[in-house]
Amino acid sequence: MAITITIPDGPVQLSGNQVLVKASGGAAPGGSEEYRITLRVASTDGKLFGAPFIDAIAPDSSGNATFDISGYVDQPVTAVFQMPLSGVVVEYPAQAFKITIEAGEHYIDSNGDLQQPFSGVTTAMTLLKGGLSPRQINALHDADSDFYTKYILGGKWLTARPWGDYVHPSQPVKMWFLPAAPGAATFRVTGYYDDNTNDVAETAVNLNPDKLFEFNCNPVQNGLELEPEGKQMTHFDVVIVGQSDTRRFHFDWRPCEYPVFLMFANTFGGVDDVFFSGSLKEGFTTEGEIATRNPAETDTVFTPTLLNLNKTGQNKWAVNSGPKSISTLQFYRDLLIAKQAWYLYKPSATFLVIPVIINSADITLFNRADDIYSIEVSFSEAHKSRFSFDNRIF
Amino acid sequence: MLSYLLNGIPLVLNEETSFRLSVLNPVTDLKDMRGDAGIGVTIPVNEHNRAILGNPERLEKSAANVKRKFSDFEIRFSGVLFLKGALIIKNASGGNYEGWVQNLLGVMKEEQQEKDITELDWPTEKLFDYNFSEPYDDDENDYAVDIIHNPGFWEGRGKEEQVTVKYKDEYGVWQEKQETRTAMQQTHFDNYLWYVNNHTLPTVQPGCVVSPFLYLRYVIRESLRLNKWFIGRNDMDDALGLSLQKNLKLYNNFNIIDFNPVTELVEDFTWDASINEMVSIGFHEITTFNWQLSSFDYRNFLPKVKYKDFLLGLQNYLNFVFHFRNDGRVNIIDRNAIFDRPVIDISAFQVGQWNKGEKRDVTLKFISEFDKNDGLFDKEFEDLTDRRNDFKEAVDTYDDLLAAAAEIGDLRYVRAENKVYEYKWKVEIIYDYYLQEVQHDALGWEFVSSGPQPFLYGTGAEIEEIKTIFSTLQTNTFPEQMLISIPEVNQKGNLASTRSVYNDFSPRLIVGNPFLWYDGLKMEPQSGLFNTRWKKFARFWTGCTPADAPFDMPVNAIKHIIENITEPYRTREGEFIIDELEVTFGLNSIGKTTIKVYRK
Repeated sequence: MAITITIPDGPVQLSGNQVLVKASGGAAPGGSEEYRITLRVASTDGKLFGAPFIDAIAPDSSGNATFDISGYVDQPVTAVFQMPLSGVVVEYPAQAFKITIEAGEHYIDSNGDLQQPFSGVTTAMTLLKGGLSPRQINALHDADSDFYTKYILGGKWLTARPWGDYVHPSQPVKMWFLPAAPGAATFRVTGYYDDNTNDVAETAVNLNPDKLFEFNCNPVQNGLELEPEGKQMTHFDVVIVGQSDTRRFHFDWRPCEYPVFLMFANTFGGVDDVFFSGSLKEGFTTEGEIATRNPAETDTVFTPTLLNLNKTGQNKWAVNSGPKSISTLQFYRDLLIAKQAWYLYKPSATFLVIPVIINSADITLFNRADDIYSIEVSFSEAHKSRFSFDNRIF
Repeated sequence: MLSYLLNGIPLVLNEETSFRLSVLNPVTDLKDMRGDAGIGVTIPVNEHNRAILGNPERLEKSAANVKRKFSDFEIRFSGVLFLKGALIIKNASGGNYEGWVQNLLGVMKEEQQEKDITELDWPTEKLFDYNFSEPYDDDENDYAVDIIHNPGFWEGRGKEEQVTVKYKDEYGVWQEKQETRTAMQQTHFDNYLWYVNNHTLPTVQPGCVVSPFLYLRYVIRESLRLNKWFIGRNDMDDALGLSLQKNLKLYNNFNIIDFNPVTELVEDFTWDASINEMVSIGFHEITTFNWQLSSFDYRNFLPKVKYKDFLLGLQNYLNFVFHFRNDGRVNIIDRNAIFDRPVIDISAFQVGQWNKGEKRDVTLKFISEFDKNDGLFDKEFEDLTDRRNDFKEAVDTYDDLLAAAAEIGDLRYVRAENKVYEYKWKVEIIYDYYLQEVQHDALGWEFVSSGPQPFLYGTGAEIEEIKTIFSTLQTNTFPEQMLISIPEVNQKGNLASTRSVYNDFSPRLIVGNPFLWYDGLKMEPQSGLFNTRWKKFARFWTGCTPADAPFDMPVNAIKHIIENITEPYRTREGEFIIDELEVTFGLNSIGKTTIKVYRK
């Protein structure tokens, strides 16, 4: 069999975009009918429901066929992250889909029998749950690049957060990374103080392309002091030495009565964190139905005739971002379309993780006519309950 | 993203484009072969689509009854194929083309609906394979030559003669009567005792009848292949080769031994009543029959029935279901063993509660069409379904009937006679010495209907009929002192040289191994077809509960369920089989999936 397959956009892709596999070399045997090139998509890690799948497309006159396998691999993933924080590096072997693809042929031979051979040659791929916009994909292609080349081979962190992002000193800053190759590496956090001194913390890590890596980047988590005597850390850089790009974060030391932290599954397969410094409103929505019962002879003063049925409640919040830069506000678009988000509620010393839904809204991110930019985001707890659920207890 | 492709070329869609997919499970339909998707499709009219579809809205193409049909049409979502078949455009006006998609099974049904199974491209001019004693092999044996008994094969062919035959009357007393037979019938009896396939080929004696019976598995496989469908999973397959379905053959009444007559011109005289005189006539008298084995076409071994009815009849007789898939494969599913298979859990996708319907409480009525051209099936059939509570256990012979306990109103089926008798007040007629008729009031068994009666299972008042054009042959012990049961018919036969007079035959199956499967294809005995092929499913089907629930499913899950729609499923509330899966795809979204089921 002369069928060969190529993956134009590389072996690591985002499942929410077209995942194209090109097969070439298809040629119908003499006397055959209904010749097609087939592609088998198998799940190496057993996580894809229903795998293996087999698709078939008739080749064009040049013997080529292009498959889009995104539908087979774009399965919902429950994003997770470490909370409470413990250590610097967390490995996730199960947050990406590992598959193999194999080409074959389908035809009815000259004897009228069906033939469905496969090549026996498989190609491995990794799919991250996420996606780029069509404009971004086209821009990458115009630059003769793709997600794999730009982000994985290019060692980019899996995030759209801007360079110099402002974070709160107590914010659980997280960065995610998928290595291109295995090997030992060093995760370095360099903290810079207002007296022009700096301090460095390093953590050894064994990189493995079969795993997604979560890094807790707050210098405190890495053993650095934010405010040693006489000085204050103004910003810090994070890098996997020789493997990743460097990212900088600035501390927002402005007084903030109640910092609000939201986590969300970003479009690169990682989980980002955002910090809102503005005012927070906490609310509670109830709904239910009223039914009427007939009075009975045995009724007492305590007995109602109107019954409160199926009453449920749901927590909701609305928070102002506080003054933010344009690049940070543009970054919030990723939060606003996130399908999975969590509110780090902090009634005491530790955070409570509350799954939330970012409410749909028509938001003006910024108006250049203004001097200070901020937005208001409302979100609701992703639970409705008929029972009391005081988040301050647990 | 939703894509409509015609010959691999994508049509240009808009934000309003949506596609409602409805997939039906063939397991839950006992009345039809489910396949026509009937899915409504709307395609925006724009310059791209006009060019691809060839301007279907133009006047010359909008004449009444002109069907705008485009084959090789696919609907995919995110690259995953959900529907493949023919796009049929009904209306081409305004801003949209309105139509529907006929999936591959629907295309085949339309092509075959007026065709008999005999009209497929079966092998022709085959020569007899003498290797009939070997065990069945998929690659080698298309047919077998089981022995059956058919006194009627030569009926209506050739000169006739009167013979005296003995018979037992209803009292078990031997009587004699005169019977008209053809000379060839008598010759068949003299040389072969009316057996078919009781031969010593290549030696052939006069009256010899050899009828190859095609293996059912061959007919299924080959008929599908001739329609460009290929068997995937096959629950009829049996590794040990001992199952009932492995040994089934299709009965026919075609004789591959033909006669090559030698004639002689004879002159004789006959009375001409118009002139009251003897007149001379001449004719070519057959002086010698040269019996010879001929080449044959397989189509002669097949009943003249519509292919769709053939498949549906098989489903409703043997309880194996044909699941036609989008990839050109057919899975043959054992409907009786569905809940023995691994259950697929889809709890993770459920997003709402089950809406339960009313629990079914039906009685299944299995109706086989017996062959009206077989003299063993009396024309005096009366449907006694309404009296099902009067039926007592069937007996083998009339003697067993007389020995059975009886109360007035009891009905019993006598297998050897294929008749139903009722114990009732009747008039007994005897003839005295002077041959005068004398009547007496008596209690006894009296014939009420020929068999077989429809088989009933269940206690519900509502009757659900399961009809099939398939049946089987009678089996009788021949002669009485022998213990072997031989399939028996009384049916006129066909020869290649007498094809101007075609004697029809209905689709009937032969078991072939009377020792292993004596009651194999009869419904009512303990070892019969109902117990081996229907009991588990019937128990479920007569008392299951319809329900439906919403699910939120990704594309890969919807695809997997569609391709395995015949499998058993479960959620937290229990196991079920799917009746219908329905989901609407938007241009860039998937709506909730509604699954209708039948629950235990």
